[in-house]
Amino acid sequence: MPRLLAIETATEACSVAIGDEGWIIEEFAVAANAHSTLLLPMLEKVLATSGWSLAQLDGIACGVGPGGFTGVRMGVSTVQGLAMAAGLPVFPVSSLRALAMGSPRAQVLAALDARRGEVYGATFLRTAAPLPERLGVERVCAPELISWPGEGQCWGMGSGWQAYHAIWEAALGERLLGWDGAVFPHAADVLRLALPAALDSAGLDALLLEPHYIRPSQPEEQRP
Amino acid sequence: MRVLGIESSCDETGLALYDTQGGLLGEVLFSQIDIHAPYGGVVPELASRDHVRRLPLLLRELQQQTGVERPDAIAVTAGPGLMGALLVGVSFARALGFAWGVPVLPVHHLEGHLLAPLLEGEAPFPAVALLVSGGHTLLMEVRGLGDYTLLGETLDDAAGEAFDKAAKMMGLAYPGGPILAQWAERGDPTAFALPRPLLDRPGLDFSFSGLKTAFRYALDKVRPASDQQLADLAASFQAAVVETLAEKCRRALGQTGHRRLIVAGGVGANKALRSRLADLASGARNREPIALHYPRLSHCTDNGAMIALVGGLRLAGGLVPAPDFPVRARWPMESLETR
Repeated sequence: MPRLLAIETATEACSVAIGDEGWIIEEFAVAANAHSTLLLPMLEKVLATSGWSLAQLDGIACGVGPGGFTGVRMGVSTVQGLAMAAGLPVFPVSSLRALAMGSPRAQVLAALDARRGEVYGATFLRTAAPLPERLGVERVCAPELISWPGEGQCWGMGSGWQAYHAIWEAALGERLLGWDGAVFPHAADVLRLALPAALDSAGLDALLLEPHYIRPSQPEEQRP
Repeated sequence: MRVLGIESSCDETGLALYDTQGGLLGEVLFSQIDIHAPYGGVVPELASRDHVRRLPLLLRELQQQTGVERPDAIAVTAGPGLMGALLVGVSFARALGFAWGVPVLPVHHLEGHLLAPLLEGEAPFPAVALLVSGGHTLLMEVRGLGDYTLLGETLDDAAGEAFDKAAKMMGLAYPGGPILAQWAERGDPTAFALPRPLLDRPGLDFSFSGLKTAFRYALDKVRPASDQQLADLAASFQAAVVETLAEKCRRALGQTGHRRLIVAGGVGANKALRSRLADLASGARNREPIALHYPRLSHCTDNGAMIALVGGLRLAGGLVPAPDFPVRARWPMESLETR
């Protein structure tokens, strides 16, 4: 049974989790701009509580975004450093998919505010499998341009809903059962999402772990 | 004690392993010049994106180069610099330190530049240090490790930045400073009368934005310029910058009474500046000669070796690092804590 550590820093929330298929311990805080000082104390705490050392783990899962560029990079750089020093493989997980894990409903429209009038969004289904399956692609675009693939009743999750719920309420009508804009992706869900991969595969070399930005940098977008 | 140094404050990713007894054991560097060239300047977001990709690759390369898997301590640039870029290096360093169980020390980027001559085995203190690069232009009195007083700094552009901007106006490729210097070699430095900013006033501060504007007017007047006119303009511009830098160095040496001058930063590689400073050092007016200290060329620009060196010196001096040190885009050097 693989033992994993997980880090999620793509939003204002910062969290670290440790565990296996049986149990998971998580440290979680909503504290924009404090991820850099929060991460290691959280890490120390979950390791101490679990009684495990890094050497006893089978890998490190990382929420790789999409989300805030700086936050995502802090998480990725931290996981790279831990994994290289401890000789562990890494397991990248989409932060949108982790966000969808928190949904009370089977069909989830996950959206994170991407600033500059855009959102990161994707539809996930939890009907057949316990873990959310994605319908279509994860994309960044203006809220009006998201088509939300899928049919039937759905539930909105994430900061994108806080900002743009009126647009989507109008577009989805009675399909939309409700939404929660004050939820964040959690490291515990990143860990749960990485467990199947940790059972089936050896994971990635830390050198290959990269942020999942989706959006190009602003100057790249503006280049003719 | 073996110290891993990590530098990621701007557009260079540098790692090095420094032994407090045996000196530099190895170093690796990646310069992002080609990434930023299409934009004519450093794009912070692109810099951060590349640091994330590069750091683990460079660490593996350094481990293979030195045969050392795990150092005894880590030193990382914690400022000043681009915030996003600094956070990448610091996050990586903290995680490595945590997993290896070794201390992580925050290093001031400019202190790395000031102390870089120590990598050559020299300990040229007390001294005046001129730090002149694309990001910084300042004069510092260095009495010893951790004992610095800022004597003067630029009020606007850094000298290297002014070089690059003038080169851009001439239509030269990025980063144009060194190319402008090549043009200057074929030109007449007295052909155009460009201002020597702040030379007529006392004090040790610099200003290069007025010079840059004067350069633009002079260039506009001769457009379309011949190659010789461009070379003359480049030479006149370089002479104005070099004369300003050299004169402030002369004043700083006079004011402090020190007889050593450390020159660090990328512009420190400029031939005209080196030649002018050599004249200053051997000048007839000097009661005793002035010794010039340059780091080797590869250590004039950003690198991990100078960061590892400072970390090693701090540890040897008994500094106990706080694990939650701040990362600072701006960080006055005189506020350094050395104990």
